[in-house]
Amino acid sequence: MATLAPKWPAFLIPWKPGILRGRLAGNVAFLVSAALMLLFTFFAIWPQSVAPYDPTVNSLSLRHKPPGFVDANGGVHIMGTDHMGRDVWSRLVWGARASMLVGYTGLLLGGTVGMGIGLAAGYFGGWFDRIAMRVVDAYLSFPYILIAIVWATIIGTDMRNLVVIMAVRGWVEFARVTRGQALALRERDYITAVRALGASDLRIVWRHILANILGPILVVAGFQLGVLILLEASLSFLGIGIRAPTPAWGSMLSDARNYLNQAWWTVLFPGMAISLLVMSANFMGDSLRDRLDPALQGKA
Amino acid sequence: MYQFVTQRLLQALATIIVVSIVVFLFVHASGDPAALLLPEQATPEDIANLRAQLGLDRPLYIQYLAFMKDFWRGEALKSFRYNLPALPLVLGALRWTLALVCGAMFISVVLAIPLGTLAALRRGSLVDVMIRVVAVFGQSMPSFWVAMLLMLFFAVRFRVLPVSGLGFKHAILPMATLAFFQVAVLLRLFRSEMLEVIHQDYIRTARSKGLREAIVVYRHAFKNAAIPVITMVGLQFAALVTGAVVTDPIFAWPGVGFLMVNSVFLKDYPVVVGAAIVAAVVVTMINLAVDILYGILDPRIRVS
Amino acid sequence: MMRRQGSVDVLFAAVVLGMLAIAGCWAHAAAPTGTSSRTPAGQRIQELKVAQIGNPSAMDCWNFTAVDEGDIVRHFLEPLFDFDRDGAIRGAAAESWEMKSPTEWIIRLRKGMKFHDPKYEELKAEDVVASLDSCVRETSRLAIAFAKPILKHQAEILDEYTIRLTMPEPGTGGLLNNLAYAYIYPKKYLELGKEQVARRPIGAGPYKFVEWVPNQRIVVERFEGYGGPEQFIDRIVWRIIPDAFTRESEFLTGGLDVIPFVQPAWVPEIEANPNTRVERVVSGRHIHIILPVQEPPFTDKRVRQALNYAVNKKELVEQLFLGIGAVPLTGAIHPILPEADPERAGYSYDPEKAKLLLREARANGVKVGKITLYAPNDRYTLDKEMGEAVAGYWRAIGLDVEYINQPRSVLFPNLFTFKLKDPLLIGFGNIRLRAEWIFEVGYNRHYADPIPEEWQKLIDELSRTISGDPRRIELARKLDKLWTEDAKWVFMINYVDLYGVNNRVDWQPYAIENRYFLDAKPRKK
Repeated sequence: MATLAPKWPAFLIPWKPGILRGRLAGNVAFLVSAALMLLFTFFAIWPQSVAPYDPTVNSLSLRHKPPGFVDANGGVHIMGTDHMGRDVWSRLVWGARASMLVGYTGLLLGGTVGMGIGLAAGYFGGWFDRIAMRVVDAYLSFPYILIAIVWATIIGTDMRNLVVIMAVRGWVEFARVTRGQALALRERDYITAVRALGASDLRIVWRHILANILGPILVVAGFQLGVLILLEASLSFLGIGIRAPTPAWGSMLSDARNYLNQAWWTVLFPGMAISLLVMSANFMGDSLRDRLDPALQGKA
Repeated sequence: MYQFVTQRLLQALATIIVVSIVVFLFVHASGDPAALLLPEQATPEDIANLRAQLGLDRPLYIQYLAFMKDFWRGEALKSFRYNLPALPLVLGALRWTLALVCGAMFISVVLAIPLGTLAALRRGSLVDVMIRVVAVFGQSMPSFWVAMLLMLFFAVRFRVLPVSGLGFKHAILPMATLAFFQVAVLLRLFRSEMLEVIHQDYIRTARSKGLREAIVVYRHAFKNAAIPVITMVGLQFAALVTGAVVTDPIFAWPGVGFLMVNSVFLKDYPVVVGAAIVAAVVVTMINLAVDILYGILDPRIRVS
Repeated sequence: MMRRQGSVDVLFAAVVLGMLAIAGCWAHAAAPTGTSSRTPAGQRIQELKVAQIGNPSAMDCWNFTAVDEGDIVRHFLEPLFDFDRDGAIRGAAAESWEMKSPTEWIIRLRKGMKFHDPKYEELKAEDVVASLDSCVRETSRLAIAFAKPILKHQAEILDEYTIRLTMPEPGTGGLLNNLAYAYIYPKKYLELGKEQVARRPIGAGPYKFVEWVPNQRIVVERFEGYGGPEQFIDRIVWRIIPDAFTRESEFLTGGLDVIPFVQPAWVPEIEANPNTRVERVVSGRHIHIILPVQEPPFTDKRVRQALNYAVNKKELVEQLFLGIGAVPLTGAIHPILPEADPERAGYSYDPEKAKLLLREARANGVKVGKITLYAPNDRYTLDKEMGEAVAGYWRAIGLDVEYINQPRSVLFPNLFTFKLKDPLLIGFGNIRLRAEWIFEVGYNRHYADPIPEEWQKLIDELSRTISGDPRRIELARKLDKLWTEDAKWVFMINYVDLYGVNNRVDWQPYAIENRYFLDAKPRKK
């Protein structure tokens, strides 16, 4: 019976002593990126606690002050101010909300849809599978950003629509991975056994396949979060992402690009924020994938 | 083999047609281009006239069929905005994109392979971690940000390279921008493939036979690790052709990305759909070549 | 196993070589740009490099869609008239002219204007007639640049160098201004077909068309046989560079000689650089916010005026444009026109008055709820930021404002097809230099309707008079006052166009945004 029980997510297994030997650096990276992700999420949930200034109030007399500038009231702008006199650090913190909201929600939506499609395609196969795979192929054949631009011009660029645009980008990888896993697991002996015992398809999918899929899905989620954040940044950069004056890192970059010669800090910091967030997401995906390495699991 | 290729060709054709229909529908749903092609002083009559002139008042499926028929004949289908034939416009831009992408992939491969090997052989060490961190960072940076910073440093502050233009020196910055991301991807893939291969039994056998490390690495590990990397190079090449959309305008590099983004904003339908189709053709051809190559290189695939 | 490795070896080598070969393919594709050159003082400029933001849409007049092409096309196609720096009409291909009646004009051509191709010899009346017939007709995309009666013109050749133009209706006082965009091609060349002319335009301008590579550059070369004033540049290259930072960088590093649309924030750096300077000119373009007068609450004049009093134009100019990129807009007529009253004060910044007016309006039953302000974010310098600032000013007088900025490709079609129901920030560049034009333009009229008969009479009168006629001043100023007082728009700013010019070039910009280099010279050291 033990062999029929679903496995726990593999990434929790290596928290045993001994397995960490030789993997210290990898663990440090994992911890650092997890910490960064938590930090950004904290910024997104509770920006008021860290941001000293209102990110949307213009103060044109304070435009383009360099980092470290101290204004008349004694307040310090640690990352300087932008072209409308707003504190860059505050905008950065508040901007985390927009980027992460769009990213996370898009990921959730896309992931759910993708997993659903992938499961159906992989487990049931047949014509649904073939069509789904054609669609996935087509997706890889043209630049999504083009569709995103066109779509943004049709449906507009408020938050809800942006989430939809993200989800429509994100579902593909989830579908592919889920399908692969479902295909592989479908033929496993214990699935056949369970089915022989009379378990319904739904129960098989839910208890057995999904539980085993969790690991790879999390890996994909890590990378896809990065992809979606970059997509949002690109769209905002082109002027069709999150609308001003809501702070968002991509639009901060877009606004700042005309002044790169005069105010490098308005370009450097938002870009670093995006890079750090995406990097953390990627690193977590990377680390998860390493942990799922069969060589570590002791059992095939 | 024949069967395989034919099957894939048909699939590719189907994909291209699907892409063309989807992009066509999308782009037509995005609004009326006539109002945009005229300056602010146009009246609704002028706009209606232009619509008729451009054939936009015909039913969609007729427009689509006319488009597919005329696009390939070069002269026949004109861009709305430029009144020049659409296909040469797209092909001209494609040429520039391919030039850039070739260069970028070349740099990426040349950098990724030694670094990936180094990281794999010295797994867990500081060198490995440093390389991996740099790689992940490279993959995480928004390309337009990299483009702007590179331009600021190398062209404006320290004037070692020209800002923009066409020519070898002018291509260095755009290629470097694209390469940033690609090196990271290839490097990490190569490293993980090498790691997998190095632990295989036959490597241990070769080592125990007393063969020099270099030979072990090159002859056995390297080439087997390279197979998936080669296919990845192909896939990334294809992705770059269609993906360098945001960096092109920054360098004023007249590639497909530049053309497509401009045309989308100007609602220049023939060019948008045409460019998407041409790009899809390029991508599917490359994917096909990659699949075939993979089949040749990895006999396990052929057998299945 | 050995054999497989061998074949893999070969394949490997082939792939690597293949990639090398492909990497070499860019060398083929890459073309050299023009070389930059130091000009010995007093002689000609060998190559002038100018930045262009977008592509022209065509090189043939029946396919121009915007007057962005006027910039470039004027260099190789000679029009009948053009404007000098003060906005006065002068003859180009035309030497003298006479308005016999509001529907009849006589135009006499200058002698000695040769076409670039000796086959077509000299510019004569027949060429003008044929060109007008191709370009200035309903079927040409350029039609919108012309007043309707002019499109229905009939041209008659009186002699080799004289033509008579007859229009079916009066209202063509602005004929000459319109014909500044009527370019002349050789008649026999036009007969070869439109495709040919579009591909290789031939005109009688001071420069010969060399090439247009879409999305890259346009090149023209000096024409030795030009019948007009001497030119001091051998070659002009317009490089298409859409990104502002790239243009600025190229300019600062010497890759470009002239850039338009300099941001106010760049000015200190450009002026500090010994090789470059900033040229300023009060622009022919101003910015205003169109109020949809038929939609409540904008039906009420008090509300409209309140919106005007709420905006601190001086602060906008000083803070956003750093005091150098704009001047406050005090009326509807462009300040560069003689018809604009230099004494007019427009709306002052008076938020208390604005609040008072709103209270009054509300007390009289007008419901002032949420206002949505639209602005483009990629069309005019600092457009998005201006919209943001205005939204802030309106909020400061107690209004609930939502601010939406979008690319022009999304916004403008709604405007031109009259689907817009909310205030929109927009600019208007008066390229015709006709005071009444802004009141005649489709969307402005539509959203300002209904206008009293008295105003329409003024507009009609103005359209019957030629530019320079002193009667225009009185008429126009009256109309301006009425329009301003009624607050059909929120008046914002008038641009001060900033150009970056390399110090080796002696050139001043024009107010109307057409960047002609016909009198550019090398600067004496």
